[in-house]
Amino acid sequence: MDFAYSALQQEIRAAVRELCQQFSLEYWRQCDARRAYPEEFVRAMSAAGWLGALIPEAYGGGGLGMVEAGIILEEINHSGGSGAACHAQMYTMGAVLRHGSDAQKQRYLPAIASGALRLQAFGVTEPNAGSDTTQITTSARRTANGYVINGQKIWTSRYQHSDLYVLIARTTPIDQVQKKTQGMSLFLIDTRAAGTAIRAVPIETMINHETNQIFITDLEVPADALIGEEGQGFRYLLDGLNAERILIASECIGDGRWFIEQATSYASERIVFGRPIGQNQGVQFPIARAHMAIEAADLLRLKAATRFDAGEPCGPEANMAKFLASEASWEAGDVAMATLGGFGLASEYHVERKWRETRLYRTAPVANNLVLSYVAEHVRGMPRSY
Amino acid sequence: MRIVVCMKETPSTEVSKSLGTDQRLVRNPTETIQNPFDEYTIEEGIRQFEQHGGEVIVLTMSPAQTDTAVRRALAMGVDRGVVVSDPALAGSDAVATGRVLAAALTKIGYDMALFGQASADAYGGVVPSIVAEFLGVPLLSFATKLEVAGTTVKIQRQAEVGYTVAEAPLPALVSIAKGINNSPRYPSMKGIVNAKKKPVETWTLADLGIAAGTVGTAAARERVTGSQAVSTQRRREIHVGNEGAAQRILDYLIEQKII
Repeated sequence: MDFAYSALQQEIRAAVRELCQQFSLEYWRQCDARRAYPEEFVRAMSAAGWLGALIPEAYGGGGLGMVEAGIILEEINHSGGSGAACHAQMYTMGAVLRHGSDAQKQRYLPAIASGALRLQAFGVTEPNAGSDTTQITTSARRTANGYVINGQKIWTSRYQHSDLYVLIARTTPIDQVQKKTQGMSLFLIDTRAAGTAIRAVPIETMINHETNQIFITDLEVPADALIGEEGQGFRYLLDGLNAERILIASECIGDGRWFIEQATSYASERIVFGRPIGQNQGVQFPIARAHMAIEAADLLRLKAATRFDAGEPCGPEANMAKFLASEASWEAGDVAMATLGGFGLASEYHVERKWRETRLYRTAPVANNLVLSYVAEHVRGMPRSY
Repeated sequence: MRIVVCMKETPSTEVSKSLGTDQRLVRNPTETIQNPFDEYTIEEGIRQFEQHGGEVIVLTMSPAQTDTAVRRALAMGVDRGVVVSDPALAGSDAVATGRVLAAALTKIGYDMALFGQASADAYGGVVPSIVAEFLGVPLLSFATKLEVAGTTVKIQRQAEVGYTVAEAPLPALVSIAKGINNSPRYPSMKGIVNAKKKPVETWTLADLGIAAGTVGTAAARERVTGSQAVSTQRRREIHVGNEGAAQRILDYLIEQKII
C-alpha cells in the first residue's frame, strides 16, 4: 500500500497552487461582496487547461483521473478561493463522454476542454421533487423533428455562465412505466439557442453562488439533443454521481486545510494574558481534532478516487468521503471561527466567507442525511428508511 | 535555431537556508526550486523558439537529487533537458561550473545560450562570463530586450538613463535581466502532461571529457571561510520624555533635509 503522490500529481498540485496564488483572498472577498462571478479566475483555470482535466487527450483534454481532478479542486479551495464557480465544467461533461454519441463528443468535448464552451449547469432538482428525482414533472414530448420540453427546475447553478445545459426530463410519464426510475432522459441543451423558451430567475443565497429557478416553456430541441438512449436518463445520472461526490469531498478537504491553517497561525500569533492563545488546550485541541478529521476524510477521498480511476465500484467510498469531508470542513470552519474570536466574523479575515461557502456541501449536491440512508441501506443492508 | 537555457536549482526562497560545517549550503531536495531569475530566461528561450523555430533545451549542473526544476522547465515548453551530475562536482566554484557548462554546451551544440542574471542562492552572477571565456564566444549581458535577426543577436541593457544596445554574431551567450519583464508562463496542464514524454539526459564528467581534478572542492579557487547572517537595523534615535521632543523632531527633519 503506497500513500505517496506520484511526481505528476505533485507537479499538478504545485502548478495549480501557483496559479491560485495569483488570485488573492481579497479578490475572492470582492467577488463575494459584489456577488460577482470570478470570471478572471475561471478564465485563467480554463486557459491553463485544468478544467478539461477529465476529458480524454483525444478530445483535447488532459486525460487525467479522479485523483488528479480532486487535487486540482482541493488546491483551489485550499488557496482560499472557491471551486464552486467552475467545478461543474470538469464533470458535467461526463454524461456526454460516457453516454453521448460520437458526433456529440466530437462536437462538444474539444470546445469544453479548451473552455470555448462552458457546460457547467445540470438541471435535475424541481420544486416538487427534491432528492426524489423520480418524481420530476418536467417533460419532453417527441415531435417529428425532436422534442418539446416543458417544466420547471430549481437550484440550477451557474446557468447564466453556461453555454450548454444538461437537463433530465420525463419522456414517459411515471404512471406508464414499470419502475419509477424508468422513462427519464438526458438532454444537452444549447442555452444560446433557447431564446425565451428558457427563463432563469436567480435565487439570492447567503453565498456568492449563482443559482437559479429555471422555467421551460415549449422548448424545441432537435432529436440529437438526446444523450444516449431515451428512457435511460436516471441511470446516466447515477453514473455521474460518484465523480461529483469525490470532487466535492476534495473541495471540502481544501476548505478544511485552509481553515486549520488560519486557525493555527492566528492561535500561534495572538497573545492574550501574556501568551499565545494556541498554548491553551481549549484552543489547540479543537484545531488538532479538526485536523485529524480532515486527514481521515482525505484518506477515504483518495480511496474512492483510486477505485474510480481503476474502474472499480466506488459508490460507498464516494458517498462516505463526501459526508466525512463536508462534516470535517464544517467543523474546521467552526473551529477557525472560534479561534479568531470576533475577527472570525470580520470579512477582512475571510473566515466567515469560507464558513458560509463550505456549509453548502453538507446540503449539496446530496444532503448528508441521504448519505446516511444510503450507507445504512446499501452498505449495511438495513431496511430502506424513506 | 538551437537555444540552450542554462538553469540552476536553488533552495526555495520560502525556507531558511543553513550552511553545513564545510560552509556549503545544506540542500534539501524537497525544498529545491527553479532559480527564480531563470524563469525569465526560460520564458525568453521559449519565446525565441516560438518565433524562430528549432529547438530549446534546458541545461543544468545539479546534484540530481530531484528533477523538479528541470521538469518544470519542460512543462513550461522546453523540448528536452540535459543534467550534468557527478559526485566529483560537489563543492565546485564558479570557474568549475563555467568549465562544465561550457563543455556541455559544446557537446549539445548551440546557436544561442541563455543565462539568468544570477542565482538566488549564491548571487555571484559571474558564471555567464566564465562560460563565455571558456568558449571564446561573445556574451551580451543583462538583456532587458532580446532580438534575433538572421545570424545576429541584439539586446537592450537598462542603463541609469535610457538603455544601451549591444549586438553580436551567433553563436553567442546572453544573460537575461529580471527587468525583461516577460511574464514567465505557468506550467499548464498540457505542459505538465506532455513533459512526461520529453527526454532528460544525465551526463557525468566522463561524458564531457572533464578530469575530476579540475572541478569540485579540491580545484576550487574560491573558498567560503566563514559566514554571518545579514542583520538589518533601522537607524533610530530615541528621545525619552516630552521635554524638547517636538524641537528635536523638527531639528532632525531639517538635518535630514526632509523639510
